[in-house]
Amino acid sequence: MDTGLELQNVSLSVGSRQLLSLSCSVAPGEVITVMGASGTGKSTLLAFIAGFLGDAFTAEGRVLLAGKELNAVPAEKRRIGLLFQDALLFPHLSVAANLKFGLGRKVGESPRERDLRVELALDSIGLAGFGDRDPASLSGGQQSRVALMRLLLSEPKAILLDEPFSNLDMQLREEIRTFTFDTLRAANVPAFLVTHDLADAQAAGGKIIAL
Amino acid sequence: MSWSTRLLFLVLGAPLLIGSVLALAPAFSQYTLSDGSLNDSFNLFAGQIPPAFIALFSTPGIATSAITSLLAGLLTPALSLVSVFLFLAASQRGRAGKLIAQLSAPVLAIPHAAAAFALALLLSPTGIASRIIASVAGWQLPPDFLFINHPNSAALVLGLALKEAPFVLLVALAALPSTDAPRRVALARTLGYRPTAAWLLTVAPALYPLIRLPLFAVIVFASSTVDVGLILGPSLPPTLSVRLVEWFVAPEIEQRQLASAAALLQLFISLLALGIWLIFERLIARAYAAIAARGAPRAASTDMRFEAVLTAVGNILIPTSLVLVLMGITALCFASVSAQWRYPAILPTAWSLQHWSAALSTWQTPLFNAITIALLSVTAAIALSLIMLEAQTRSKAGTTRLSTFLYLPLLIPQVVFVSGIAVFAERTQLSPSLLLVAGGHFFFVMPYVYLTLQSGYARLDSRWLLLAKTLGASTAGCFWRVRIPLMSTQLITAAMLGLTISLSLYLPTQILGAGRVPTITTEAIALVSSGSRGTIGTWALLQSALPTLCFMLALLAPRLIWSNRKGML
Repeated sequence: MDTGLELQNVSLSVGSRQLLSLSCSVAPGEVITVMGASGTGKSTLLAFIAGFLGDAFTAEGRVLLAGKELNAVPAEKRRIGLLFQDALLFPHLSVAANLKFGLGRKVGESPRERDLRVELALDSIGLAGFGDRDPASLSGGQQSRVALMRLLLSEPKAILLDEPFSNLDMQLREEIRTFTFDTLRAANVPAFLVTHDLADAQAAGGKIIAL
Repeated sequence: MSWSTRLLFLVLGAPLLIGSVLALAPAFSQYTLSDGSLNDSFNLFAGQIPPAFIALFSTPGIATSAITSLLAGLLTPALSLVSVFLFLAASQRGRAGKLIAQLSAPVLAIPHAAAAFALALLLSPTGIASRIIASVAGWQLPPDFLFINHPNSAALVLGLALKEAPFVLLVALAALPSTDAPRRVALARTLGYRPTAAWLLTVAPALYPLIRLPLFAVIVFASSTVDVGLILGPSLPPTLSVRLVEWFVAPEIEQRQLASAAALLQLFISLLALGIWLIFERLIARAYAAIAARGAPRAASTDMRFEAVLTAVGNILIPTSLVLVLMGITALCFASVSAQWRYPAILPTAWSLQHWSAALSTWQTPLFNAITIALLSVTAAIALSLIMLEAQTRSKAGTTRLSTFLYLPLLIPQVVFVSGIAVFAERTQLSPSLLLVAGGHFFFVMPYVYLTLQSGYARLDSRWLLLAKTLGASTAGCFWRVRIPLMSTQLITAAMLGLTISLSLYLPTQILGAGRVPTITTEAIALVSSGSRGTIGTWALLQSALPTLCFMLALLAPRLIWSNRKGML
């Protein structure tokens, strides 16, 4: 059985100062929320899980994904996807090329079939025919949807969300939040949300851990 | 020391040190100066002065040459700094200021030699300026006053400042945002200071430390320039660096020793200029402290007048320099298509394309050489810079102090180590070739290319690479698919800057090529003694054409490549 994402006795510190310590597990399809004011080490925790922890930090404890320990695995091999505050669509690539960037290669798949997968993905987020567009020409909400779809196409085993809605205005936030959580539940991957907005946490619908 | 620092030392530091030592060593050798046989009576360790130095100091006019170089090394940066700071202080809010700053950027692309030729054609006794005055004052004969090549070397300083002021301006504009200038000025104004004075008192002291190293490079360059010295500097006697090169290329061994002794004197003069500059820094800092301690002005009238004078001067200097450059280039254009140009006519009295057709029949080889050398040296500099920057990013370790090595080629006078490298090439029997000259150019291209790319690395949002990694891209994939395209604008800028520098370099081309690798630049400067206005105008324009093209490409290429990607512009 898939045990999802597990943190066992994780403790992060800068020098001698401990930032946080926690243990938890996130099942596939579940979104767990970590809340805390700035400076409590939320982003550091995500960096640790994703494999980017800076030299200034020391970390103890284990990260497990589907029962496998990740601590020694480099970031690009962990299959952990990250959703940032901004959509961060690569500005030098078209919308379709952005989606293809992380698209897993399937054995025997032709370029045409890859194109088709991308077209279907665009269709599923209501952006059919947007493949050749310049990402800068998309609206904020459209960019957010493409960013989420790019993440899902890379077939991550777990997803980390770093305050993904905080740079959106109120109206858009509601819409994108619903879209994101619906999509994540449908994709059936464990997701780990970091936020300081209680509404985000409630919408996520999972456990809430306060730091 | 990380391996990238070691690599930089190997390719930049070591050749510079070896070159400098080899340039200076012959001065201490035991050969007598008269017949080339060993002079056993000379012993350095017994405290005797090496014969090369005795010969150097008994050379007529050597003190004048040295003092000219020293003065050029101090007055050029001083004039550039004063005009740039006053300009920035006077034009803080104006749209005109922005326009002038934009207009002075292309001046950077004009080679020093071409700018010097332009000034020479503008301000010589029969130059355009004199003709314009003649048309007003009714002169029939050119004035009996020599400005270009005058022993007071005013033309030399002016010619250097015309090129260095835009450089200082660009460096200052790049550093300005980090000084928080508008708020500093606003604060000072609420305390009762007027805008220009407020800028000079509150922003200038914060800005100066940020542009200090480039200014040091200006000091060393101005005190040791060869091409501008040849064209605009005094001739009896020439500047120290010009004489040094004359001695270095002479066939006699004792002249080589003399050149070597002169190289040591040149190094001393450049360091002395730096030392004197440092003393002035202290004095001016004290004066600043005294002015600041005097407090805000209350007596309105005198301060108003002072403010008005500062503002006026600040608004005049840089625009005037631009006008001079523009008029000089116009003079080059006219001269290149003139068949006859009687004084005091403002326009040529007979037109002809003979200078162009003559130049076009001989320009292929110099052009080919110049482009090959530029491409080789710039490619090497970009590749090495990227390797080092990538290594630093991946090692996670803090950057070691690379800038010292990087600035070395700009802080040691070119003549000193270039002549040393030529000696090294002779000893190791490397014959003058395109590759050798390109190697020499690399030293001067590398610092600017590296610094441009370094700022590109620093500015790139690190989240792009994190994102690429979480999407499964390998380290190499991150570099080629994300880093390189996202940094394409900086890469183009670095390449074009490097090409511009290489295309304009005179001394390394002349010395390392031993006259056998002609480029557009060496051919143009070889015309200095020809006195033919038409040929000089044509070649100076030819010499400026490619760097100007590079400058325009640096601006246009990103817009063309990314015309369909607004996020890249």
